[in-house]
Amino acid sequence: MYEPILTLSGVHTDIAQYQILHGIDLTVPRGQVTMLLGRNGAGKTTTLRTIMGLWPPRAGQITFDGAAISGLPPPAIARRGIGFVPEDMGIFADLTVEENLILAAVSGPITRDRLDWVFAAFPALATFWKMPAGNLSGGQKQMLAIARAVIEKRGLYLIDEPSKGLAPAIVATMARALKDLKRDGATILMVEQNFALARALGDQAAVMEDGRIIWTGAMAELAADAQLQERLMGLKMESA
Amino acid sequence: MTLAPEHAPRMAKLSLAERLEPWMPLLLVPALILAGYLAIASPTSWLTLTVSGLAMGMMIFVIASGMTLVFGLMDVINFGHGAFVSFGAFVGVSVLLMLAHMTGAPSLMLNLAAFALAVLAAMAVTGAMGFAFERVIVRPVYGSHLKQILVTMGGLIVAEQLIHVIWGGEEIFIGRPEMLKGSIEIFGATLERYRLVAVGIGFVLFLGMRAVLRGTKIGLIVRAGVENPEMVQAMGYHIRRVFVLVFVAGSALAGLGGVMWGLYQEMITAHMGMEIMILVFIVVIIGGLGSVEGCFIGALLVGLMQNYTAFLEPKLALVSNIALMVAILMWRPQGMMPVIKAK
Repeated sequence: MYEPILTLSGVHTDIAQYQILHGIDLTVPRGQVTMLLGRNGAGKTTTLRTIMGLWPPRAGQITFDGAAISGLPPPAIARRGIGFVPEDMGIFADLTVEENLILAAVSGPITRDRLDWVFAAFPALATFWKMPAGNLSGGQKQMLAIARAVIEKRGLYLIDEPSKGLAPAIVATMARALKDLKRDGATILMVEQNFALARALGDQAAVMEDGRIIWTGAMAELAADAQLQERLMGLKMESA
Repeated sequence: MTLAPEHAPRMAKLSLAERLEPWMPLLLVPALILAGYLAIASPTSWLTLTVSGLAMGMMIFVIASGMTLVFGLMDVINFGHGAFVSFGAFVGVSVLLMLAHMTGAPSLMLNLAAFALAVLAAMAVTGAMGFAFERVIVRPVYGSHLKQILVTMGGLIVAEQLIHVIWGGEEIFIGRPEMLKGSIEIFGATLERYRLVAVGIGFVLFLGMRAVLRGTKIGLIVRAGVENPEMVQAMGYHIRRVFVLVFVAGSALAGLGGVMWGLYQEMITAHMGMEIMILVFIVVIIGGLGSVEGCFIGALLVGLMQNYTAFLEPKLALVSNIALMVAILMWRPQGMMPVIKAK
């Protein structure tokens, strides 16, 4: 049994006058990859942003590594060891690739082993090291977004749709890097619409609908049950 | 700056035009200087006006640089920025008057020491004012442009009235330090010493700001914060603290600009800050919101344009800068080197 690193209990989040999350209960086990799945508008991105404190919860408790983090400002949450890759990647276009990574290393200079890991996973970042990040392609920007999160070892990585809008070859590169990260024992909570990628990476899965978690369990169980997928997410999968 | 990659970096295949495109605004300054040379028949007058324009531009840059960063970082429109210019001028001039024995001495060292003390006092006072201004006036109105305009304009009026209370309602005439008076002759052109010093100070400040913004971590945080403050927070940096730091630094620079501007005009008034804000806003807009480099180029263009036009057709001096702004915005609607998109 894996020890939980992140727990959400009865989390409600409002954006303006709209209630988006309706009492989320979720546990993310340490050292596992948990996929957050669901249709568009189900509340997946809101859940990640709520954990990061960008949209603070109205009610409920969020606990990370044994300490309550709900209500803390985003910088305090990040410094507890949570790396965040937002849906829009959040790249600083005016900064070079190098500067983006220096900034991401909040606790000090970048170490050689982490940089080597990043270059091995994403060689394009070494190629365009001194180039403004705004000049990178969409796929390279996504690589940089993930590289920023992993440039320092963190307790938890929140990754929002890393494959969105990317060519299959780039998705494959991304998947290899994330598998490598997983092999290193990283804990990841990832939103993903690409079910094939989710199946390849996920250990656990949580399915959301209308701001609620409607199913949790092993990713393998969900991947093996086409009827369950169709019922939960409206997916009609080709045979695996 | 950090560990260099072992892989050999190479540029993507961009055409020469594509690579030069971001730097096109840099060509505008020499282009305007050349246009001035062609329009002004006398080369000596042209040289005098060019140095004067550059000096004016540098002073506007000093005042505007903090404002563009404040706008970029927190989307705050601070109409009260002019208050720091006026206050800086009054504090600086008061110090210079107290140090009359140093400013009147025929010693460059003593003159510069008095000037430095005046500048330090002005920057300290306006920096502290900026801190209070941010806490009391700006902080409650984050996110609302209309309220920001109203409340910072109110802050400006209060500051001007405070100047009247402390220093009286009359303008103060101020002589420059002894060794900064007069002019020198270069290629037959008469160049005021003070203007050359102003060009030097402005250029050194620009290089210093660039070094901080490009070569230090706090500079990276500021540049990234101008672009995407939310992401900077999600990475673990307290953007509000950085903003306060930039606001204080921007206010102190405006104070420095006030001292320089006061000595340039040789007269200070409580509303001098408000008057110069028209040019400052033009510079911030044409430079591109959040861009120190754009602000620098914009300030030089405005200073040069103002001086050339004032010589050729004095009635068109201010209109010429508005025409310059219109022309640049038609070419680049977001300004010359925008870091953030105008909202």
